[in-house]
Amino acid sequence: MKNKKIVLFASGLLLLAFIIVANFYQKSIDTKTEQLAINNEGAPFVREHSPSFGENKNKVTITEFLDPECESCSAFHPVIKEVFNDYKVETKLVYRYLANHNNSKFAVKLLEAARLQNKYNETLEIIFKYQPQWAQHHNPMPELLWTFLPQAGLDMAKLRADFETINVDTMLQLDRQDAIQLGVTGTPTFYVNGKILKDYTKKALYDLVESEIYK
Amino acid sequence: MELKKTISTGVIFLCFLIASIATLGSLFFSEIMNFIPCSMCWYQRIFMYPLVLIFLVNLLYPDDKVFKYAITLVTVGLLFSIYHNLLMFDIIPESIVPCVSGVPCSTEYINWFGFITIPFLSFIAYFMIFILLVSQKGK
Repeated sequence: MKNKKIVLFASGLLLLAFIIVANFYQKSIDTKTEQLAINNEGAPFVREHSPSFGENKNKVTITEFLDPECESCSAFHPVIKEVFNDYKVETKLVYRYLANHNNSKFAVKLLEAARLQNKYNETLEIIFKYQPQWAQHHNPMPELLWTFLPQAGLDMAKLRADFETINVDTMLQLDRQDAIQLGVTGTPTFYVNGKILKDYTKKALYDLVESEIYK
Repeated sequence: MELKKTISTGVIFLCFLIASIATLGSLFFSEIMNFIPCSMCWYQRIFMYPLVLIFLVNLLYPDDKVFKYAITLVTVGLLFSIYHNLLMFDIIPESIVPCVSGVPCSTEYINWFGFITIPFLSFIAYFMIFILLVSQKGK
C-alpha cells in the first residue's frame, strides 16, 4: 500500500514538473517573440516585399504565414478575411509565404504577378476556392489555375508575361528565414503585434486582434 | 524470497522513472519546443511509451512476469537507438535510412557538451532500463 502511494505520488510529481516547465518555457518564448515585435519595426514580422493591406491607424500588424497550397490556410481564410474586413482601418494585414508544398512556389508566383495588377486578394480567393481541384494530393494540376484565374478579373496576357519574368526566390528565402527565426513550422500561423494566435477559431482571432486595438 | 521482491520493486520503480522521464522529455521536445521527430525517433517512442504503463501497472499490481514483457520492448527500442546513434556519429551513412517525414535522422536539434544529442539521451534511457532489468534476471 505504501509503495503504491509512492508510485502515484512520483507520477503526479513528474506530470506536474512537466506542466510547470512547459508553461515556463512557453511563456519565455512568447515574451521573446513579443519583444521582437516591439523592438523591430519590420522583420521578422514584416518585410518590404510583403503584400500588406489596411490603413493601420492603431498600429496593429497581423502577420499570416501562409501557403497557397495548404488546406488549413484555405479553410481558415474566410475567418481572417472577416476579421480583417471589420478592422481594415485599424490594422494592417501582412502575408508571408512558407512554400511547403510542391506547387506552392508556382501559386506564389501567380499571386505576385497578380499583385502587379492590384488583384492580389481576388487571386488568392480564386486560388483557395479551386484548391481541391488544382492541388489534389495524388494528382496535382497547378496548370489548371490558368483556367480559373480570369474569374479574378485579371488581364491574363499581362499575367502570363509577368509570371515569366517575376522572381520570387529572394522573397521566399527571406520569408523562410523569418519563419525559422520565429519558430514557425506550419501554415497558417498568425501573429498580431508579435503575439501568436493559439486557437484557430474565429473568436480567438477576434479576441487577439481586439485586445491589441483597444489596449 | 522476501528480500528479492523488495529489490525488484525498487528496480522496477527506477525503470518506471526512467521511462517516464524519457517519455515526457520526448514530448517536451516535440510538443513544446516544436522539434519535428524524425522517423527513427518515432520508432524509439513506440517502444518507450508503453514501458511507462507496463512498469506502472506492475508497481500497482505486482507480479513476477514483468521482465518478459518489458525486456522485449526494451531490446527492440535499444536496437533502434543504437542504430540511430551510429547515424548521428556518422558511422553509418544517412542514405541507408530514407526518412519519409521530411526530417533527416541525422539532424541535430540539441548538442550539449559536444556529444549529448536527443538520440544519445534515448540510448542512455534504453540502456539503463536494459541493464536494470537484466541485473534482476541474473539473481
